Order: sequence, then structure tokens, then C-alpha cells
Amino acid sequence: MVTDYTDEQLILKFQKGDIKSYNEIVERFKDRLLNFVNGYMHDYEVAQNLVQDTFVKVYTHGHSYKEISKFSTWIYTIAGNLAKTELRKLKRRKTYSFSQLSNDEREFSLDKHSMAVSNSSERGERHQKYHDIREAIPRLNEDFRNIIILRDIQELSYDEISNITGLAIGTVKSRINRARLKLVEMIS
Amino acid sequence: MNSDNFEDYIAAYIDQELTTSEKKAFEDLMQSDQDCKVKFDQTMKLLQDIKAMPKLETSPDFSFRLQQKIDSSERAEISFIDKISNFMISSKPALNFAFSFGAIAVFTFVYLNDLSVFQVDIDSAEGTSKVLTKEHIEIELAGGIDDEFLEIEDKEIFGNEIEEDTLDKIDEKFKINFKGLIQDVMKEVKTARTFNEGN
Repeated sequence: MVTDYTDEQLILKFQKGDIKSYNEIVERFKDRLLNFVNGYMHDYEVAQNLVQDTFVKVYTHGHSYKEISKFSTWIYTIAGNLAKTELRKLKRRKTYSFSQLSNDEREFSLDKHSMAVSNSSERGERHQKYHDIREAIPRLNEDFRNIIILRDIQELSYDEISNITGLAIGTVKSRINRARLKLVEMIS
Repeated sequence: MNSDNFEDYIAAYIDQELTTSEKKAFEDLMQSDQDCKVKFDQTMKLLQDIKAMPKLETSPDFSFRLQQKIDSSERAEISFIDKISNFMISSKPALNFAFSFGAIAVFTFVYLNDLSVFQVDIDSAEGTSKVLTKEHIEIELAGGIDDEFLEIEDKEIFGNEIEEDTLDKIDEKFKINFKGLIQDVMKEVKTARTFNEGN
């Protein structure tokens, strides 16, 4: 059941032991975080695991949240850090390399979930476009990728992006233009 | 605003953050410069595509799997504490005694060593109060040398002023010199044996 509590009120209630508030936090953020983390990983299962890990951290370290920042900033920062750590691990191990997959495997990996959520009429040129965008975002450099994901996919305010990335608002604003043009260049 | 810095204003134009004059300059530039127009159109198309992209949704068993992870995380935390308490409480008394005795012995050794109880004091053995340096000890262990020569060595190595700190640091290294002691004793035995054989 969805309540009218703010995110901050929910985490404070959870800190006092209210498990229902925790469950509501999970319901509110699970899909948003999945899209956020998938922007880094471009792998549905890995992204879903990382989102679960994020919620485990909220459960076990919920007491460490202080009401000096927005809850969404806090949870996005946790998820982003887990995603970056996982990316570094993948690079080190080289057990999974997207480029090592065959073209068919690559298609399957990219589309196995988006196929499920889109109906057959969406296939074709538009579907290809989405595919290209999803594939290109993880290939952007980290600064551009973070800002594209947070601003254009998650639709967060510049203020929130500034808090999550630690960049000045002016830097975020100037970087978003270059990030978008870089993405256009990559998919065209 | 010109074609070189045009792209810096695209986001602000889309977010409607430009002033009236900036907005007019931006639109004029788009009309007069085809490259600027293309950049703007491409950006708008990208944003439309991203907005229209189907959003991912978590799988139906997401909450179930999350609950499993939380449970196993709690179990892991509990089992670690349990392991320690089980070891300390339910293990055999003899083992506990041995463990405690070992810990006390190590602590005592470290404490006494810190008080320099084990420090080798070669000076006192020779009946002098002079503080020995590393070089002195090496010379002593090599068979010894007369005091007059030592004083000359002192001056050559340190000059006339010997810094207390430097000596303390060197002394620290020689708190326990078991190897040096053994070598010294062996040398003495060898000298005595040579002397006896000579007689």
C-alpha cells in the first residue's frame, strides 16, 4: 500500500524499526534504480542484483542516513558506487566482456529484456534506435555517462545531480550539452 | 553567442533558462547557421528517443530474492559472532587456559622489551659507563680495540658533537642482539682454545 509519506519520512520510520516503511521504499525505488544501474552495466540480471544489493545496504546501514541530504541522493549514491565497483571488478577479471560475445549473443543480451516489455509493433527502426542508445550510454566516458543517466533517464534536477556527483551545478549544466552531443555522434 | 559557443546554450534553451535576449540570439543563430540548427535538432531528437525508450521493470521475484539476500546477510552476521562466542565459551577449559596464558606471555614480553629489560649492555660488562654506538659494538665483536683508538673513531664518525637522538635510534636497533652475543661467545671460546693449544 502506497502512503503519502515523503522518502525522508519513510527512512526515518524505518530507522525506528518500521519494516513496512522499508518495503515501501523498495517499491518506490526498485524500477528507478534498475534503469539507473542498467545505464552503467547494460546487463539486466547484473543490474537487478546490484539494485538488490543496494536495498540490502539500506536495510543493514539504514541508521547511517542523516537527514542532511535527500534520501534519493543517498540511495542513488549507494547504487552508483556499487555499479562502479562492479564495473571495475568486471574489467579486472575480464570474465565477462561484451565485445567478446558474438553478434547474435550481443543482440540477445541487449534485447532480452526490452523485447519483453515492448510489443511487436515497436520493433524495427524505433527498436533499433533504443538499442543503439542503450548500447552507447555505457561506452560514454564516466563523467558524461553519469550526467546523461541522471538527467535524461532518471530526470533528476541539476541540484540533485550536483549532490550525487559532487560537481558544481554550473559544471553539470555545461557537461550535459557535451554529453548529449557525444551520444548523438556515437549513435549516428 | 556565436557558432563556437552555441552548444553551451542548448540545454539552457531547452530548460527555458535563457533570458529573453539570449533566447532571441539563440534562435537567430539557428536560422543563420545550418550547423547550429543540426546540433539542436539532433539533441532534441535524442531526448525524445530517450524519453520514449521503454523503461525496465524489476522481475516479479525481485522482492522474494531481496528478502533471501537480507536473510542470508543477517545469518552471516550472526554466525560470525556465534563462531567467536562458541570458540571462547564452549571450547575445552585447557584450551582456554593455554590461549590466555599465551596472550599474557606475549603481552609481558612486548611490555618488558619496551622497557629495554632485554637490552644488551656490553658497557656494564666491561665496567665502563660509556654509551656504545653501532660502530663501537661492531668493533668490540670483531675482537676489541683500545680506548684511545675508539675516541679517534668517535670523532671521525660523528665529529666532536654526538647527537643524543642519533644514539638513541642506534641503541633501539640493538635491544636484542642474540646473534651478536652468540658470535661474541663463539669468538671468546675460539680465542681461549687457541691460547690453550699454544701453551
